[in-house]
Amino acid sequence: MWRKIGLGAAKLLAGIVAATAAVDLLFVVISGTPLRWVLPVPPVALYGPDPDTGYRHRANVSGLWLTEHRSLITISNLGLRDRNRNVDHDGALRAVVIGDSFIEALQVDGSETAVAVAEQILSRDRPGTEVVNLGLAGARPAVEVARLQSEGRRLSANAAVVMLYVDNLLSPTTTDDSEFTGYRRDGSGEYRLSYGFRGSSGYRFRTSVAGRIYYWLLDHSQVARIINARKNSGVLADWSDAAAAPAQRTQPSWSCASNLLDDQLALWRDGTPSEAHALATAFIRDLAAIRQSRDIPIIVAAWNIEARCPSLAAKRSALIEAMRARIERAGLQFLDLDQRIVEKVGPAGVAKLHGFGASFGTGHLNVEGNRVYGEIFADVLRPALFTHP
Amino acid sequence: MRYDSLYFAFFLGLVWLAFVLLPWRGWILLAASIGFYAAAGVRDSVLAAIIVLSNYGFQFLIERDRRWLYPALLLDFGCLAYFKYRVFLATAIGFDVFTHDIVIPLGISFYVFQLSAFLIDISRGRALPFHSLARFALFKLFFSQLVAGPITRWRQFGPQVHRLFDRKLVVRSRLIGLGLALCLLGLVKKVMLADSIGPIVDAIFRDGPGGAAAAWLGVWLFTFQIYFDFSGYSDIAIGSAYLFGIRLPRNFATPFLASSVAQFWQRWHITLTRYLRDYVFVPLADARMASRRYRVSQHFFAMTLTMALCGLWHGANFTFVLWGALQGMAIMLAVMWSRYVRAPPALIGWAATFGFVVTTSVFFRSPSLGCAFEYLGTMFSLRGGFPHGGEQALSSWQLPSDGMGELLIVIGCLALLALHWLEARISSLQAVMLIWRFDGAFLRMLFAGAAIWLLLLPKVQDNPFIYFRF
Repeated sequence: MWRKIGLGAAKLLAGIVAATAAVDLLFVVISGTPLRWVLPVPPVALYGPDPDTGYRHRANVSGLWLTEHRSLITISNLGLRDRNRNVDHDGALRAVVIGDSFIEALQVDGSETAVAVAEQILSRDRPGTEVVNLGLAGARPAVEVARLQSEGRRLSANAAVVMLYVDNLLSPTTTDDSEFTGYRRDGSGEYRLSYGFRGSSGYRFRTSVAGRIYYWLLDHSQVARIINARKNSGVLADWSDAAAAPAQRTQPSWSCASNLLDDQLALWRDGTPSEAHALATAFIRDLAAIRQSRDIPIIVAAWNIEARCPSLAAKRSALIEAMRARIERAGLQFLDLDQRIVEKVGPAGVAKLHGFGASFGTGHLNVEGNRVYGEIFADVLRPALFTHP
Repeated sequence: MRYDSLYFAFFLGLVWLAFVLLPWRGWILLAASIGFYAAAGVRDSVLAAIIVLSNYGFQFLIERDRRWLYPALLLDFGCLAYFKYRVFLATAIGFDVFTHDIVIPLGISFYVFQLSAFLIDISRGRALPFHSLARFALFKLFFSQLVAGPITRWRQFGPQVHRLFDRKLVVRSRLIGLGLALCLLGLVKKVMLADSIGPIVDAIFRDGPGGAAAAWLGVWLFTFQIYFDFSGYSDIAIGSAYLFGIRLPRNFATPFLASSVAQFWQRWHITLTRYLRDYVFVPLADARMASRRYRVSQHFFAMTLTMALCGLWHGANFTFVLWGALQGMAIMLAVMWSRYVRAPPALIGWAATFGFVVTTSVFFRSPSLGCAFEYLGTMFSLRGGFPHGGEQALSSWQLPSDGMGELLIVIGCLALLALHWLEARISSLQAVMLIWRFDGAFLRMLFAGAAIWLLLLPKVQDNPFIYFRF
């Protein structure tokens, strides 16, 4: 009887193994042919652990990004959403652009990202000029600061653009350091960069031998990628019939509600709520410290401050002036990104910079959007790079 | 609860285990079916319960006096009309009273048809009433075919329900391997094909095609999308029923290989076509409304009306009505053609049929008649170049732009047809025999394992089964 049970179990196991091998092979074939642009494939696992920011891109990983728009992603030799390059740049000018998924731009080809476009433009002006993409999906202000500290130093950047998505300072996630770098209050009551994630079991696993084996499997097995993607989205994520898309910020729809800028205005002009005010102070303070220690111009590109609403013009102007005053007082440069975009493409043209296919008009930047952003980055980096002593 | 989800797989696995291990098989399936439908929400469940209970009562009255059929049908189709067609009907007659739309209760189009067929069969003496409410409820609510068919008749399903409760239903083990194979085939069609095509179709129809080639591409892909979507669902429904030893009728038989429109409808949504034939077309065609001289005209009218109603069943929109009416007229024309003119070579018949099906799909997909005619205008305008990867609507295809992209699109479209032909081969009796021959723990785990992997694949876009909304 035991022999019969053992034989049955062996057959079941063999069936599972055969199914796994067959499915893996199927997705290998799809991934290696033009079928990958249409048929489903497991999404690439781009991120690994990082002691400075909690997570970062894993060097030389390659695969298909599926959300919003399919694109073939290759992470650079330096572990960045960027082209391969040397750490040393032999005296050539180099800028970095730090931001979240909009800068990371996984939805377009590597040569079409806003940062790549800016580099193409600036290197025409002065050959050899580099603009490095430090975009990282989900990066909050604390992650951006930590990334500028670590990667900016490693890359010896001569200038930096730091994106400031204005709502982030009002978000409670900015103070959460359980998964990535956050701002926490220290003994003196001031907000400082905090790395609580380093003690988490998830981080310890990812940095252990088992974690390395896990990442090896992700790089070499399609079914491992399926498991990883399902783990990230939740085993029963489709219970609500909602798409199990990774949580990424997308461009909100256009609204001119009268109270749209009230929270931001209260924060930057009146200093309320005090928590957010203290966070903004810490963010500016840390950027100013980097600017001072490394003597590089840092441009804070504020965005998601609606610039298409004539009815909000007065309120917007007050908000921009308040932001500009605080940021420039710290020795940083200020960029009103939304205003620059509207100046470039007009109010009606902004939506056309976002989304793909059936979702055209909403979502992350499309190729045209990246081109427009890239031109703006080139415009603001040109004086910062070429005229800074 | 969607069939292409992991939780449905868990649900199916749990129900199957209970079914195999416990002796109360009918009750287990009934409880599972009630639980399955309850997941749709309270309102849908209450409505389904009311309809089931009232129909349970009506069956005895109809058996005694067939005139009770009319109030019973009035109730069933009244519910359907209220929930599905009230805004459409009110708007059509210019009576703007129902200003807000409501969500159509899950599967109402299907279970109302199934129940009405059952009641009509009782009135005709072709079915026997269920004396047990539990058996009647399972007949109506069986989770495998509850949401989108196949629409089963009493003679197909009723005796199986009785055998389940009487513990006489033999679950042939070789059906399990076949059932799992069908579930896998259905998932491949849905997850791998229909869901992949969907976003491209959505983009083309949303923005309007840039030229004739893009228009043809959009409607070609939509034709296959809806086929893979619905036949994939039907395969899963039939396959999961096999796991419990229940045989449901086939719903598709590679319809795109049909060589006439009439044949197409004998192979597409077969259970609906048979319902319409038996309960709508035949009574209309046989009714003594005209003299023998006008019998052909009466048949033509009956077929057109039947298929227009078929279109209306699909959706409360004039686009569906026109789509159905065109199908009806084409069927009659094909029938008359075959009567008076020699049949064309099979290849020409197939090409004409397939071309007609693809072209009329524009009405099925378009949101309004105006959009449909505009789309058709683009299709036949011969303007616009070949769609390419850079075109916004097709931007999810990052294809090479040196001519290879165009070639790949053509190859991809033809590959869909080739897959359809291949499906005819793997659905053959020989393939079934092959599965039976090698059926066992290994093969079952192979099918189940592959299906689970497909279910685990994360969805980047929400693509519910198209027929769920009908």
